[in-house]
Amino acid sequence: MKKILIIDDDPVIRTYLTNLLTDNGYGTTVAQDAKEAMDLVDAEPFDLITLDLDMPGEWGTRFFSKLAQDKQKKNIPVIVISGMAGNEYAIPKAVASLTKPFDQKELLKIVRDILK
Amino acid sequence: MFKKILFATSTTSACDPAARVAFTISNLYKAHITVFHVIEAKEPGGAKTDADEKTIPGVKEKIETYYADYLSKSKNHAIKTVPGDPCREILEELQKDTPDLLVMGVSTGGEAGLENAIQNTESSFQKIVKASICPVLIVNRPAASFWGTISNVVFATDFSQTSDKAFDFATLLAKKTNCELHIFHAQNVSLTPGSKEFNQNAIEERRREKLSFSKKKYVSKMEGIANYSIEIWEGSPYLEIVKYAREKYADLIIMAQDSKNPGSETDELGSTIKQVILRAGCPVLCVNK
Repeated sequence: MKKILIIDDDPVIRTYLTNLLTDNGYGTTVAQDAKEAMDLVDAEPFDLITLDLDMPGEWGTRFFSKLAQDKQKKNIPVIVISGMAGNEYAIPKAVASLTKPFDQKELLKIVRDILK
Repeated sequence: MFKKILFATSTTSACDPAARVAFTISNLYKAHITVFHVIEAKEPGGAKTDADEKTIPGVKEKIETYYADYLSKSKNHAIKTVPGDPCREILEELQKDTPDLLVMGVSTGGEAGLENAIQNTESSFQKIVKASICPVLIVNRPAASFWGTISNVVFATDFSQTSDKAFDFATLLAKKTNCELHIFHAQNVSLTPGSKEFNQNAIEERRREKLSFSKKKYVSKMEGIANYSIEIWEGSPYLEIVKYAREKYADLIIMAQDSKNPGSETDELGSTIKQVILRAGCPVLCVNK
């Protein structure tokens, strides 16, 4: 089973994404901020990460930079899911960027395409 | 920039600052202005009665007298008076008349009424701002500056999709008026020891990242605007916006009204915009989705 790490400070979004992705056959783990996420990424491998930008503590961009600097983790695909319109400007190297509220079909299609 | 303005008024001193702004904009842009007054229906639910209808000529006369100075200088105006529920009638008039701008004050009930109008989700003020199909210019404080000329506009963004719409409006205004456009974001920082936001290095880092993001997001869309600035501050967003606007001598603050479902009576006006309306020393223009 492919494993997805969901990083978002909003518990409603975390639950929504967890239910959506679990219902569609993916394993999920959640983190509520970048620090917790980095601890999880250090501890176990993930096939995909969904990343919020505006979270307490580190911004999502900082997490992405750290990930990109790590030889073993830099290839984990990251989908940015943020309330900020134009979030592709924040992390141009993300595999996809979605603005909340997003279309679940669009997200699932992106996830399927990446993990096929 | 503006062709049709709807000025919704209670024809009391509470709407005097809004009247000044509404007529000034109308004269500046040679826009048609409709002075719109709703005679609050006495029947429960705002049902109109013959008795209400009969008061229309008298109220119209009162409006003509109250705004005589402004009306004498205005070449393109109309006065419209209808009985009914103020919120419903104003929203219906917006649908019928399709103005480019709705100008309104907030409350006739002094400080307590003002607080109630802004905080209470059931107030006519909140319902109108949430459901308006055009930008709403709110002139709250009697001391507020007004659009004699537009020199400095603050666009306060939370980077949301609705903010993008407000940005489009702000850039259009800046191009038409040659004003300085100040793009501003206040990152919400709760300075509680031990909280995730408390670390100053993290605050500075985030500020730099948001500034870089803002430049990438907005600068390419501001061709033709000679004077602009982009700043990110940290703190309590509404306070920072009010302070920033004061520092920039802003004539106007433009913000997105970010209700998830515009028109829904259950949704509340965003807490930041409510506080900015309450406290800003200049008019606040709300743009809906």
